[in-house]
Amino acid sequence: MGQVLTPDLLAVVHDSGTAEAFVAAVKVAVAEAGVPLVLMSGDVGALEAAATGPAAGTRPLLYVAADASVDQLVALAQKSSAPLCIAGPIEAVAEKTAALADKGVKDLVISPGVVGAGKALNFLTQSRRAALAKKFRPLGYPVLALAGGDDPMAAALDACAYVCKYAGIVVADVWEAPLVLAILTTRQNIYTDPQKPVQVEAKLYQLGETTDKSPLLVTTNFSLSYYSVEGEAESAHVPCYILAVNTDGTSVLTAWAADKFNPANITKALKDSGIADKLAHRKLIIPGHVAVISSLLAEESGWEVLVGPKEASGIGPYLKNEWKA
Amino acid sequence: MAIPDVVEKWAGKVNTVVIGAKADQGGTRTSTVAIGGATTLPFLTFEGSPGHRPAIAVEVWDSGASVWPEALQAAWGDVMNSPAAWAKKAAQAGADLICLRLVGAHPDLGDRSVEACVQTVKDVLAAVGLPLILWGCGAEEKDNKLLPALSAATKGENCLIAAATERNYRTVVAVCLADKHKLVAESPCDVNIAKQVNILCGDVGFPLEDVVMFPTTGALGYGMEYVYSIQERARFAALGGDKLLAQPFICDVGYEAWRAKEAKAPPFEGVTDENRPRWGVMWEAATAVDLLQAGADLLIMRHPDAIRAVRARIDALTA
Repeated sequence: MGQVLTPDLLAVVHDSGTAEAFVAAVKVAVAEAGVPLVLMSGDVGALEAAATGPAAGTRPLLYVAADASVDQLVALAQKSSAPLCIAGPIEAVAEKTAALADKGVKDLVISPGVVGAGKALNFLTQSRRAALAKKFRPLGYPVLALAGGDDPMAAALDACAYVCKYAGIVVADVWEAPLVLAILTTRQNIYTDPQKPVQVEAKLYQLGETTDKSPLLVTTNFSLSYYSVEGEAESAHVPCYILAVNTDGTSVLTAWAADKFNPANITKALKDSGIADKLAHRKLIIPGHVAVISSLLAEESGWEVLVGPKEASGIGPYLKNEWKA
Repeated sequence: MAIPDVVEKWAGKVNTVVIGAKADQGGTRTSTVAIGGATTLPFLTFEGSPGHRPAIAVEVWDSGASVWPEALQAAWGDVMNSPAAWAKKAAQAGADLICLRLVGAHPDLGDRSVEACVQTVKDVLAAVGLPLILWGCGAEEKDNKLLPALSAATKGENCLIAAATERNYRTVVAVCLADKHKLVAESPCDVNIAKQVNILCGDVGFPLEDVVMFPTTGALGYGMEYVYSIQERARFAALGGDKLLAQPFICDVGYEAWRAKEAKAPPFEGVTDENRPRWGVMWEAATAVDLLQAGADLLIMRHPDAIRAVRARIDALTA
């Protein structure tokens, strides 16, 4: 949480036909982008000119969109000191990477090239299984997947699917904010371990222009719990405090069952937060699902414990209709 | 160069479930939909049969759809006040099935009578020839009155009725069995409970081949990874031969995706009046496409543009 999601690389595609135009575009990209580059061309000479010219020293990934010979590729790798991406049908790619490895070129990425989504998915799965389950080194490289075509939304959706299925780099011709964010959020989701929940900082949060009569909602520091509460409270337009208790990022019921969302921990969080100095009242609202802890919590903390709604969706009506300082 | 054979020999397969019945099958539908049947992981054509093409059901509410986000209101327009007209427009938008959700029956959301709900279902049946998914209002007590009436009124139509849960399954199982409908088994984002609900339905005599699993759905950015993992685990188990997890998945994509902040497009950086509707459409489509990679067989969706976009990706993945 609080993460900034942003693309990591910029791809420059050689579309013009002339090496000069490509090199000029790479020069602009090096100067302006501030991120590593993928240089894509069917002209090995143009790749070399760009990689040893404006992109020298920046270690761009050189995507060779041509059936270049092994000698040409070795020369390109040596002159540019940059990693190469070998694209094509899976057998051809394996043959080439094996030959390159024999000559000491192992700084490689592989790609199915410009193919439909179904073929790309099969390539991704076959190469990864061959590498991991069969220990087949010629396919043991990260995979770059291309999501292109005329329709940016289709490209973005293909990019999402490739992120789900093992792509190491996705090059997508996608610029619109909602499309880019969906791809990046897919990456964030897929690379989040559900057994290590995403957490928010366990602390006191202030929503809107609170006063000493504002309500205090208590929840856990599991991000989905916190943001459910925050979202509902925000859309109710009732300024309030939310105390996120440290439950190691587990949800309300899980934390309660594991004895982490218990009167002692909540009381400690109350004290540590300094909330008592901010409020004239001594009332706190707990999630309806843990109503069972209310009397012990009242005893332990000395606060009056109000049992809130069971679901976050009930928070708005609760704050508007039932809450009184 | 020859590459190693990486084809896995799976012992099991996903059940095939057919929804809807034509005249010669005792119903009045003009089309039926088969889902499931995969003998491999999603879209891996090199390995086995990916089974039936994932189907898309368009969500229609009996009443109360005025709470739907603006972009959806704009897409559907006036028909949202008439479930039959809405279903007709959904059919034109390319729906494989209609998912009719009787939201208005909920005691807090209109408390529509069972009789009124039955009439709505009859109106939709008359309006379109597509198979139906009938979804209760979620209030257990009311659903236990509502679902039997819906089931009886649609006897012979081979609907998919939702939902049996761990706590509340006996009534809906009994009526689906009696009236020969298919059944949605719902579980709260937990693969063990998913299996448990299937076992409970089986224990009271419901054929497990007629069950569709609903392990709950999470939108992109709002817990999608949990559902993704659970579906993946269940699918691995199914292909490994576990008949108690071999049921196809239904995913409630539209409902969840349009709850996301991103779908409603508040003033984030990058939101303009022009691209505002695109946020929700993309959020819905991306949630669907991600879950397809985790084995989704039946998607419930809302926005016509998202439906078109996802359908085109399914075509590309199965090409």
